[in-house]
Order: sequence, then C-alpha cells, then structure tokens
Amino acid sequence: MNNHINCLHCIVPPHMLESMLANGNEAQKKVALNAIGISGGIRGHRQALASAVAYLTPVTAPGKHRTVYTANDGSSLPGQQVRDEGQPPSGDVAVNEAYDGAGDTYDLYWDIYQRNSLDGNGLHLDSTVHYQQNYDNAFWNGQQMVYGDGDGQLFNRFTIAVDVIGHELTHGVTQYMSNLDYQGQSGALNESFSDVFGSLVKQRKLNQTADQADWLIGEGLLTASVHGVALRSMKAPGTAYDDPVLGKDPQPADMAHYVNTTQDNGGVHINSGIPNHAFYLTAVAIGGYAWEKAGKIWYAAGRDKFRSTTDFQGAADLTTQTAGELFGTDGAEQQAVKNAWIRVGITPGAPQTQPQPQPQPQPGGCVTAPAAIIRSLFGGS
Amino acid sequence: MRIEFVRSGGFAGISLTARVDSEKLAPDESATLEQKINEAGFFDLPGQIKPASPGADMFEYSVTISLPPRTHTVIVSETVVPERLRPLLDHLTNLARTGKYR
Repeated sequence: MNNHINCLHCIVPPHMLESMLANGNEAQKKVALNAIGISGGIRGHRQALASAVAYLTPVTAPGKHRTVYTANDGSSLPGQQVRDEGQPPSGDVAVNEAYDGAGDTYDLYWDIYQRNSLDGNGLHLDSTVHYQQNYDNAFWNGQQMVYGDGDGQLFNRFTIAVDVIGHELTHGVTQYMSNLDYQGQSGALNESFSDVFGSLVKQRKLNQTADQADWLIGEGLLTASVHGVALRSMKAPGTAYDDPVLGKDPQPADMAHYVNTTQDNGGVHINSGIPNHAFYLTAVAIGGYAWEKAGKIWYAAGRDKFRSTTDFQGAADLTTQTAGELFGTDGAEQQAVKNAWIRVGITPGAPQTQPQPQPQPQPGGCVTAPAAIIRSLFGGS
Repeated sequence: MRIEFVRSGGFAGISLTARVDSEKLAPDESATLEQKINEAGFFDLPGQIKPASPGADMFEYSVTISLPPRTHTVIVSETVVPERLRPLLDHLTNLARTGKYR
C-alpha cells in the first residue's frame, strides 16, 4: 500500500486528487488524503495542492496522540510507557509536563497553521523523561523527544519550560519540511526555527502579545544558584546568563558578531541568535500576537521555500518574499521583515529574483506510472 | 600522555572542556585513566561515529589522546557511544565538571 501511495503522490495531478476528495468513496478519499500528506515533503507541489489541502481541514483536531515513557534513569529508548493519550495525569510532574507541552505544541501547529502534527499526517508524539542520571540535556533523536532531569546544581528538569518542549518538537517539524542541514548557517537556522516556535508555544499558552512576551528560551531551567534568567534571549541575544561556572551567553545578535567555530556543528546554538533576533524584531514591529503574522510568515517560508542548504541570506530573502505573498508587496508586514533582517546585518535580495524550489524525485518509487491504481480509484469495481 | 576533551552541543550549547596532562596527575588518577583508555580500545576506534538519523540538540564528544608514539581523535555523538567507551567519557566529563582542567 505504501508503495502505491508513494507513486500516487508523484503521478496523480492535484486536480485529480481534489476530484477524489470531492467525489470519491471513503476509501478513495483516504488514499487521496494520504497522497497529499506524503507530498507534504515536496515543497513544489504545495502551492498547486492548496485547494485540495482545504479538504484536509476538518473541524476538530484529527490526530493528537501523545505517549510519554520513562527511561527510569537509564538510556534505553523509548523506555517504559507511563501515560498515553487521554489517560489521566500521572503523579510524576515530568511526565505531565511532557504530555501537556506536547499538547500545547500540537495545538499551535494545528489551530494556527493547520498542520496535523510534525509530519502533517498525524505522527504520534513520543516523549521519554528521566533519561540517564543528572542529565543536563533534552534532544530530538529523529523520532522522539528525550528529556533529562538536570543535575539539580546548574539545571532543573528540562520539561520545566514549555518552550523547550516546543523547541524539540519543532526539530521534528523542520525534519519533515525543509530538513535544514544541522551544520553551520543552515543548522543555526534549524535551531532558530525551534526557538521561534518554542517561544510561540509559550506566548500562546500565556496569551501574550509580542511586546508582552519575555522572548526567553529555557526560563526556569537554570537553578537559583546560576547567574542567569534562561539559556537564550531572542530579544537581547548574549544576555541570558553570565555565570562563573557556565560562562557567558555567547549568542550574537547580528552578523558583525557572527562566531566561527568548529564545535557544536559549527556553532548552531550560538549563531541562531542572529535569525532569532530577526524574528523578534519582525514580531514586535508588526505587533499583536506574534504567532498570527510573523509566525505565519516564518512557517510558510520554512514549509514552502526553505531547502536543506538554506543559509541566513536565503532565509532573509525567502521570509521577505513570503511576507509579500501573504500580506501584500511593500505592505507593513513585508517592510517589518525586511527591516528586521537589515538590522541584524543581512539585506534581503529582490524578492522576485528568488528561484522557486523544484520538486525533487523521492527515493523508492515514482518511476512507473501507476495507471492501474488510478483506474482502480476512479473506475474500479 | 595528554588528553583533550570537549563535549559540545546539547540544547544549552554550552561546551565542557578538559585538558589533562598525566604527568601532573596523582599516580592513582593517572593509572585509572590509562585503564579506561585501554578498556575502551581507544586507539582502535573509528575517528567519527555518527548516528544514522542526525536528530538535534545531542551532545557531541571529541577526545584526542596523545600517548607517544600514537595520537588519535574520536568524535562521537552521544546516542551512538560504544559501550566500551562510555566509562572513559563519563570519567572525562566528571573531570571537566570540576573546572580544574580547562
């Protein structure tokens, strides 16, 4: 079945998928929906499929499914299941935070951007808490979120901040969209996307406008004995902490202070300060809730235009272009995006000269025309 | 013997480093390190060990050991650390945490 769907998404033209959605029986609709879901990875098809995608928007959330596991201080993943979707809260605060934070993140993507989970196709959200002992980290392993309890001296448990949870899940979203290479500038953009949408999850949960938000990443994560308020500041990169043990927040706010390093995949957690600040400046200039316009511009650019190798200049060009498409050329929104990038040291290029990304052939299919499949869907007995 | 240890990456992006010169260590501490290096089969490990799926926010360890005439560097992502190497990485992480070996 999967092979058939893989072929289908490459071969069947959008209008045919639309017709299948409008006129087909339940089984045909399901196949068409799957085909559209899979083609989410092919950015070039997005625009053409817009009308068909409208059918993908039912009234209620279609597939929020969260499962939380515990590693019981070990390293095996995913570990022992402790809470599944719809089950009551556990007595374990980390379990409940991981569950609720995954829900808040799912809701932002679904309610605001009509994205059904990380892959756009209802992927289950798996999280593991209590990973190793005194573990000062949280990560996305390509399939699930993993959270440590912190050492208690410098770091608290990593589920304590909802933006950390939104950050990790957004790595999954990025993986299924542009799949930005986790190295150098594209890696810093990948990190920045996670900080941006992690912060938006928090702002929406707190019902804060752009000027009310703290724009901090990981507030509450550092213990009281550390001199610092968070791990990163999108509002003022480089000011989140300054501590004798942890050192000073190394993030730059603009290209003049870009850090060249081989560590941390080329400083992906350092230079993300630059696009982070560009997003902050955009959101504050536009005003209101940051997820409504600035977030929409960033999301649409990341979904439809970014590629795995997009760098800071590309991000500036493509978000500026997207702002014009969504809210009008030379409108206040596009001006806000443009000015924000200029302030961090990057001048967006002329939007109309940007090449459109071309759809790439997907591995494992799409070579032979599945005429029999199409026949069976439309005329089949 | 000289050891350069860096743990970079992670959600916080804060690096942990240690530079160890065995001549400046107490004899028992030096012997413990050499034992863990031997048990890891350090000089036979590949220079780069990366996971199939890159993920994000994982720690990356870089360990360079000079034990004349041999010098070898191993760069490994935390989710694919070979079992035999784990005790050495844990030991070096603890040394780095003391802040005495920067």
